[in-house]
Amino acid sequence: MDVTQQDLDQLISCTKRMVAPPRREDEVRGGHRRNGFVAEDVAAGERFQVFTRVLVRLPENSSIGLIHDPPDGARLLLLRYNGQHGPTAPFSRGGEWHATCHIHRAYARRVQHGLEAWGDGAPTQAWASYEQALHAFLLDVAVENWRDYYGHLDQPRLPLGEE
Amino acid sequence: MAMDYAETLSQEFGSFVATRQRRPDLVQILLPFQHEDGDLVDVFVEQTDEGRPVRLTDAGMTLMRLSYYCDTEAPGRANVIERIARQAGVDSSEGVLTLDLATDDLYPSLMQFVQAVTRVSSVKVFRREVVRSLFYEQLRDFVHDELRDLSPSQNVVPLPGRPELEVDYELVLPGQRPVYLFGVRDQAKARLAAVCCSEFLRSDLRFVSCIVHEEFDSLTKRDRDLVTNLADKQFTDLAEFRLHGRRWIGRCA
Repeated sequence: MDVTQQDLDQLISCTKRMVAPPRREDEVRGGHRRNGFVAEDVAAGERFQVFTRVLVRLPENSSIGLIHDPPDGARLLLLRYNGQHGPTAPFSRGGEWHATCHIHRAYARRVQHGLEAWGDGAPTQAWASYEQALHAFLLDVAVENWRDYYGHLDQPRLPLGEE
Repeated sequence: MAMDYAETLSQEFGSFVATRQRRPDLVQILLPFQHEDGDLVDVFVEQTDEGRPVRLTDAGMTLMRLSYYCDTEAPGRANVIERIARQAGVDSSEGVLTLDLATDDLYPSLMQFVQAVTRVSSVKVFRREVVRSLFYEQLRDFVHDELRDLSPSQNVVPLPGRPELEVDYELVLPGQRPVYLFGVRDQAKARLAAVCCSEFLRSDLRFVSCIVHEEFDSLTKRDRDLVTNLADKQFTDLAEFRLHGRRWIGRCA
């Protein structure tokens, strides 16, 4: 597959608009809560799917993902924001536990070699909960009308302690 | 001096095992087995109040990961997953893989369970890479082989000046309305077929539309409603079209 990292990064960061909104309530299926929406690139018309998954038994195990969904059906999972489900680095001697929120991102070099697009997750401190991850995700993938359906994530700061 | 592999492995394995108490009755076992994205294979031990292990479980993580790529509860896929799990000796119920511990030997059950998780996880590769590439080819072969007496034409544009409204196959019966056949395997194609049908109807074309799905249930409800309200006939999968397609064409067109 002929794709560059710039192509993948552009698909992730291009401004998108929700065209098929999420359900009002998450759907519980197969031991997890699921929801999602369809978005389109406002400039080029590229189509994307966003999924959200939260494990019922262990809600800290969550994933929010962006899938590129082109007309030819060659879907590609571009980005996943994961919760603290366990170690993300290759397991090292000593078995030290380090559960961190982390990001899986598609890499062109893997796609070019016919591998699954993403490699090891990169730990992040940008969020510490599912709601924070969802908020960060919606901003990072530039969904311009996210407040229409996820307005509860946009909590204003109280002016406490400010002069 | 020759290496004592058994002794070495026995000692090393202990270095690569760890646990984490996730809930009062649930312990995560950390093993050096990873998915392609580096995330560890999810294995948990359910234990009694006294701390005795009774069951291995994935807590639903395997199917949740699979659901990123496909509808794990679509009839075809759900059956495949259950069969793979059963063949690997684990239970699959309500989205959770489990293996009850019959004895106090945790290690062999653990290895069996990890193997089952990786085999079920590989379903996404098989379904996505192999089956996806076959649907349109299989439809094409059937149309050209079994329906050749209907003079099939491929990639037909019924409305001049509207090349974007393309029909996969036009089938012709003498003296009857042509059948416009669409193969649909994903949301984009479903919507394109719906748009085509809608525009052809608005233009008062004389035709009968037929949609053959790869997997009807894989579409969202909204898209299923869309094509159902516009198409004259749908076949929920290729197997149904092979069985009943010719007879329907002869009756309705």
